[in-house]
Amino acid sequence: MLTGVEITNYRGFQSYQMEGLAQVNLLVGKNNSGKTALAEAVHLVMAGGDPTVLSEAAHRRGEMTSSEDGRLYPDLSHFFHGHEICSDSSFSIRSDDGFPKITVRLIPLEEDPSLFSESHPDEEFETPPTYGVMIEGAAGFGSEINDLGLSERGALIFNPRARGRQPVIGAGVPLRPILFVPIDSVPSRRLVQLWKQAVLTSKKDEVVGAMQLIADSIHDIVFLPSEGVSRSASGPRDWYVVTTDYGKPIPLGSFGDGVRRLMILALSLSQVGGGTLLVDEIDTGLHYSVMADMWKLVVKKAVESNVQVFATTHSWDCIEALSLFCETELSLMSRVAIHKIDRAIPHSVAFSGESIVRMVKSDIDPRS
Amino acid sequence: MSAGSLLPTLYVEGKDDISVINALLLRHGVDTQKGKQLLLIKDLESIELVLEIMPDVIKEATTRPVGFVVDIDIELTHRWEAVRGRLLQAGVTPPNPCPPDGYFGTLPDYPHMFGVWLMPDCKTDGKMLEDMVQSLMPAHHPLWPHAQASTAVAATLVDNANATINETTKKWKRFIDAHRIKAEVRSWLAWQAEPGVQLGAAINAHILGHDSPEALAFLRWLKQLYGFVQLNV
Repeated sequence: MLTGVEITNYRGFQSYQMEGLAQVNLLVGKNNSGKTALAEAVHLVMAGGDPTVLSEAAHRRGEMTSSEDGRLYPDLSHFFHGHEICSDSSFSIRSDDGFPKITVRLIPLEEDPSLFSESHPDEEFETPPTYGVMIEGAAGFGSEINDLGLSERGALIFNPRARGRQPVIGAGVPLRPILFVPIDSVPSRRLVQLWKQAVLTSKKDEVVGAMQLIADSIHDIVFLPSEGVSRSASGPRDWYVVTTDYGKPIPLGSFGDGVRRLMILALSLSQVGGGTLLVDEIDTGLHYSVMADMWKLVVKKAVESNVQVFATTHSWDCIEALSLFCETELSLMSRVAIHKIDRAIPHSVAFSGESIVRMVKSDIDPRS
Repeated sequence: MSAGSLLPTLYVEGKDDISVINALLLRHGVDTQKGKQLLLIKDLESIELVLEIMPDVIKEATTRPVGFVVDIDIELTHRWEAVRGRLLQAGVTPPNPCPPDGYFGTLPDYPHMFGVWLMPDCKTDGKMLEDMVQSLMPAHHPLWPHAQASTAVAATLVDNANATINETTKKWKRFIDAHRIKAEVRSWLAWQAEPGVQLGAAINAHILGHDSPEALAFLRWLKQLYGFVQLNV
């Protein structure tokens, strides 16, 4: 389990440390304090420096740059402190979990343009790269200078010939499963994919069991895609919840966005046993009255499946619900921590479950 | 919703602390309540809660100075030892004994100070907020010796009556001896032109003064902790 992370020259942080990480970590802070950036940093290091983590993060944030032909590329410049790139720009993320330190470094290709171009004989890049992108510490894709390029404007260009290499961690550290649940709703296609994985890996019962934590009348969840509708268009109407309360299955959509979000959390947790789950704005779509149930689901499932969770929020209700959970589940209190993110100081401030309860009772807000 | 705030915050153990501190600041030209709020004073309702929350609040205060005001109440060394224990938990090593001008501390990397003031003067055993208030009474006020004597008489009356009652549950209740100053100060306030006004209101109404040595020392601590340059003390 990750207990600390140190980052340098990454996004809004010139140098920043997070310590005292627990099994379930809630990152709190004001808007633009860097909560999501830190969750993404954990994602990158725990995914062994996989560069698709960077490109997915850029896509989620809308950090794209267009080339002359109008094609959009992920804009890597925003990952570097100050949003500026130049020769030898780099950022790094160090963890204490046996994972190698990941350093993303730009190598000017003008010094040796052959490093990139010679490896791309068949590829005509509309936007010729100015830099090679070296991901030091990554043992898979991105570890070679000719895997990735960067245009002067920051466009991240993947070398398709190198794409086949899967990221694996060096030094005998096995890569653990990891998932990032973004703030906006997970696409139905992704939900179907997660569901299929759960069914194929016999984890469906676990998901149903997790959902029972919040409503014990739930007996089963079934996926029945509508006839004549393509899979990509499947929506909440294709999911049914079988409960002991009603004589017929009830569409998942009838339960509202909150239950769908909880199902995504339960599905995601079931797929990352022994690994890491990152959830941006974990309270999204949840009414405050189900927030305590959400924590029950997340913490219990995380402990049961040995998953380390990193979630962000800027909701007081979410913090209050975590406090309530700690008060009612004393044996799990030590498994959670809140981390205040404020760039006024160069490290996060960790609060234990006991501290969370004390602070909430006295109306002391760790986001302020 | 939480009353989360970016304001500099002062944590106190009772509502009388809030009214007295606000009134003292106002008499010295700092209005904490109207318009531009400069300071949030939070009542945690007991000294135990103030002490308990101290390490968390100090670590949480990345954006603003925070202070804590608690009564000495007991022997100064014991009160300071309890405070020191909490400050050690927060990650600082405070001096011993309590600095007579109040305590100021900083955590490494934090841009603001935090501080602790022991009411009323950071140095006298058994004293509390009401001793600060008493220091603000006009000198040689004829009712003060009378308030003290009357309080003593009141205690004796109850004690004598109770001496004849065997059942504990039927005995009359009175203030504990440690709180004698509370009864004396409120007795004195009961006999003013406007009888029985609250402690802070008595300062605002000029029934009480605002510049005893204890009050000025406390205001200097507030000025240094929160950077109240407008405080002329």
